[in-house]
Amino acid sequence: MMPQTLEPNRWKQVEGLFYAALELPAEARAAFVQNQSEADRELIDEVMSLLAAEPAAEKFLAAPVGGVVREVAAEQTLDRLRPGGQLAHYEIQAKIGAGGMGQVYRAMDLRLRRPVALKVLAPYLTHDEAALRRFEQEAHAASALNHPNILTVFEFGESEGLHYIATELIEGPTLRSELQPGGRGRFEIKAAVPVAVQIASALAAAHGSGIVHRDIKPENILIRGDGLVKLVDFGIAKLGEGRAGFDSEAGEAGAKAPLDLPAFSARLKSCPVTKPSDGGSEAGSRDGGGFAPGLAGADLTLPGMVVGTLRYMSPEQARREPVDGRSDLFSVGAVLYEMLAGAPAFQGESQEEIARRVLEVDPPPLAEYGVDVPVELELIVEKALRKEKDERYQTSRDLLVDLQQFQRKWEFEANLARAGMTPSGGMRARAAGEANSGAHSAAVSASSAPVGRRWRPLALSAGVLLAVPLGIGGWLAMRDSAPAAGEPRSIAVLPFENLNGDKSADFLSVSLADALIAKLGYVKSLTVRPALARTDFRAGNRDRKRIASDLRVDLLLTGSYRKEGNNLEVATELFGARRNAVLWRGDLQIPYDQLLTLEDKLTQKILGGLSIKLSAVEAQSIGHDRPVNTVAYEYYLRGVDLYALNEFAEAIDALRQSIANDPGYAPAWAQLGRAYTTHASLQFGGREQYALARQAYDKALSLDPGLVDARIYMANLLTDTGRAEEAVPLLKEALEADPNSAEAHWELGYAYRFGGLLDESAAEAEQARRLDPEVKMNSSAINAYLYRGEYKKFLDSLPAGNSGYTLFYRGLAQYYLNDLNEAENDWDRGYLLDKTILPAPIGQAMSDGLKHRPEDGLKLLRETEARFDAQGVNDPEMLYKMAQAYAMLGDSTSALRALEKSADGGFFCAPFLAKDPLMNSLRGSPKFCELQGRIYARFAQFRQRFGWASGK
Amino acid sequence: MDGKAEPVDAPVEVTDPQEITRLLRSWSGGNRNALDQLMPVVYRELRKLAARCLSSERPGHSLRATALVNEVYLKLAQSEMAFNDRVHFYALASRMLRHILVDHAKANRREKRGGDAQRIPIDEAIVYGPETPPEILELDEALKRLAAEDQRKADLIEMLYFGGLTYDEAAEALQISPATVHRELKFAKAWLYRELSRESSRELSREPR
Repeated sequence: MMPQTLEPNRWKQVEGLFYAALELPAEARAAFVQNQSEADRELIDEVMSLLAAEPAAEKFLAAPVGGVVREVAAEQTLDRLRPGGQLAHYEIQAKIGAGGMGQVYRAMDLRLRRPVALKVLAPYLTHDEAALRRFEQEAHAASALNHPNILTVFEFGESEGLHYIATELIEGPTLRSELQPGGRGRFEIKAAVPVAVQIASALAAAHGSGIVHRDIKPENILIRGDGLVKLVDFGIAKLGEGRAGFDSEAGEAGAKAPLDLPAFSARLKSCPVTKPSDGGSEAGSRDGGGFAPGLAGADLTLPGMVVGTLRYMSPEQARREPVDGRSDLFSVGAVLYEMLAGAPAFQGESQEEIARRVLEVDPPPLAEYGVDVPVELELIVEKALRKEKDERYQTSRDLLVDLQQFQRKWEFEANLARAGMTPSGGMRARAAGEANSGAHSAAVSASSAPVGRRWRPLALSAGVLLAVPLGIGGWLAMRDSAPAAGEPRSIAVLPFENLNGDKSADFLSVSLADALIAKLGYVKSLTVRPALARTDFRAGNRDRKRIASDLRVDLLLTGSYRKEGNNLEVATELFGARRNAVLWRGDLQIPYDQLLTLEDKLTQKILGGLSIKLSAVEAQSIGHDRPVNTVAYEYYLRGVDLYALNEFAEAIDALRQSIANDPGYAPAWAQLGRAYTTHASLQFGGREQYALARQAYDKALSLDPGLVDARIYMANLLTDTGRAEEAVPLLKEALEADPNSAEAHWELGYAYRFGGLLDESAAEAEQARRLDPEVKMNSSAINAYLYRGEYKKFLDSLPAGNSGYTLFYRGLAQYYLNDLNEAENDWDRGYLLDKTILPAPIGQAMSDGLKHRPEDGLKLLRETEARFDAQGVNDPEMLYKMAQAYAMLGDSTSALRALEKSADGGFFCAPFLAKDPLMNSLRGSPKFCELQGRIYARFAQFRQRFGWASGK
Repeated sequence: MDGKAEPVDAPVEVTDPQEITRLLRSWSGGNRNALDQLMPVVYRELRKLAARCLSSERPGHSLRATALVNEVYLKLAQSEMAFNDRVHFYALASRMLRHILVDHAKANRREKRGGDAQRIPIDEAIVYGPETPPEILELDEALKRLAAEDQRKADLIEMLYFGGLTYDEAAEALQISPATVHRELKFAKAWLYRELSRESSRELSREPR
């Protein structure tokens, strides 16, 4: 037992002896303590036991609870590391990188006047011996090597407690960023091989000096602008005694010790078949299930997970067996494979899955990625990636020689091809035409969306000049410089201003503008951007040039009106941004009960003012609205206004009134359908309202088969109710009629994302936002970003305000980004703000999970799910969120049930499912595998029909 | 702010950053009363955050102790707070965090009734770390014994280990020189290490191979 507290003097005595003894060499301490303690046995024991504990205690409690860092605080205090600050004789210029070990700065060596990269060990790690050792090792290993493809270390030092390594400065991206969607994606053969050659060359030097790198991966490969490659980060390199290359260096396992094999093989959690066939069109596909090259798995894992390196690790390294140079060669093989394929050689949804593949599964042939790789090169990759190290390249020199030989032959034949000669036999040289084949997918993703604006020359032959009686109503025409033939012009229509404050006429503000937008939308030479949310003009912002530039239009239509009794006065102005002047203005007076003639008259004025000639089809489309009774029209306008205000129930009332007054007015039916759909999906309206919506659309289209809006709205309903395959053709039709319809583009993106075509979806959504920055701003976001793992981009795409909808999605993205505080806060606020919208309780449940109250969350989820079922709500995307919430709260059974409902309901976004970290706890269960198979199959068909690769 | 009802366990609400600064100063000036007012606020905020990182729902998730403390600090205090005020805040938060972790470990131990009470290693609960950390309850007990002998050394460990303060910050908080921090830390660690290895019948797994 421990003695009770020592008396203070005794304690001081012990302490004093301890410090004094520590100053001495270890072997001299015992004698010293004996000597000083005057045969006080207890005192001697006490001090000696502490001295004995001291070396081990050194590491003990070294890392504060939680591994720790205080980068925020550290950075606040470390002024030296701000631009302009100085560390030793280096002047900091800018931070250029950050990693687990610390930060990297661009700096100037003030003595030698040369730029350097300065890697500074994070201050908190200076107390961590292992980290410090690794940091030192990195410097020592690299400085032992002198090779053009290895980053040159200039200095390793310490200044005022900060450890740093100064190296040559390479301005260029890492191979990792080059491989990502924003970079060049897949590498052409002529670009990939030189990179591999240079790495092999660097390794030949390292291995020759007995150094095994052990962490070859795209993150550690820098590519300078001129193509020079530098291998970096020898932080976990192993310094052997002699040549690195063979088994003799048994002993120390990898410092990274990635995983414990018995542990993970015992819980292998992957589906038996992760790559169902989708009808043989796999070649060239980009989004195949778990095989989407654009979706690096590591990017979608939750923070804190150990990731990355495993993917490039040799099997023996993954098994934590001793490694030699041949392990590095395997990694080079994996890197080369990825450059050529545009996708990692070993993929999986989990670490375990990736490890299993590294250990057991050969990567798919490169041809599966639609790459035409000469057999010689394929053999090199294959040989580097042999599981058995004895079957692999035995030395980096061997690999280097093969690569160089290939490179020479390839270049030679490419030159022949360019000279118009056919190479004879051997390599099937396609070097010259490679840009059209090998790098096809990358080119597609990099170029702007194929579905863009389709400007057409005006159909002059069939054209009719819309007769405009200029001068009526005092129109004043000041023509803008006439645009070149066929050049599209863009116009934004701002909400009209109600001048005399007759509240009963307020609704005209938005609905009049909306009616004009609908009319002008048919004119193909005009891009119309609604700006109904731009209320700042009414609020006094008269800077029209600024507004036009915000909205990216060259014309701005503004208007005001005054209603007095039965008299309606409307004043309109057309502002030209290029000239920064009012192009024309005009006043119009009509009796209020002839309201419905107003939009036609205004449309004609505008077109006349712009001297736009209409094609026959356009003229017909614009004029197609049959006369309608005034009361019905007024209700219609009110309904449109209410919808824009998110008052769906009220909008439905108004539109039904309109129809009661004139059942033959097609646009009212279309708007009614839309109001029903939105109400059904967002506010638990459920199956009843879906059915009503469907009827309304059918009615609208039977009354007016050419009504574009009805098609767009109906497509939304189809997508929501699980028929994305039907929605897409409908929207393509709508876009034929009105290529500039932001809403049609948006809905197409919506259907695409349900079907997992995320790149296509993002492109459509972006196009929609280009055409109208406010499109569906209040009720939809560019979820494709979220599903591609681009969380920051997704956050930027959300509206700034705080609707319940926005708060839910912001929370979700922040959760993925590990900003848990923010996520919780947003979810809570969303729920407080509006419990009636569908995402609110799901967000609240997720927040409960963060609060460590899974029971509360589960209760809420079950209630919500019951409500879903009872009402027949079918928003499968939201059901997917519900599955995520269940999974988060640990209820796998319910999560799988919700996931199944979501899949059956028509959300089959396979690429997202394959990577979604929130689903990780479900993976491997038979049910999950079955569902994933089903979802993938439907996705594959969808992709075949509608994906970019389908050629449409 | 966000309209959420606050739990009832906080008698007086101190949320004004200036008030917090004032209390911190008052406390570091020796006013024990100020500490009583500060503790519940800091404790509650830390708990809220800590609950998350202790939550088993997110394996592999690492909310670090310092990040925690820093977050609470940012939430409660003014960012322009003077360095020594901040240091005092960190010191306070370190203590709170220690309490939270100990409470959690005790609760867990109670839950597993019977003889095979499971030990909760600190870092396993909070973060993945290469070194196996000590058992938190044992460490806590040992720290109490150390405090009985030498309060300052126990405080030092608390700040460095639980709060993640830097040596300089700990020196500032304890009003001693950084050199003394280094020296005393050696002693305190050796002492604790010996205590824990004596107590534990089995070899501590962290002992160097």
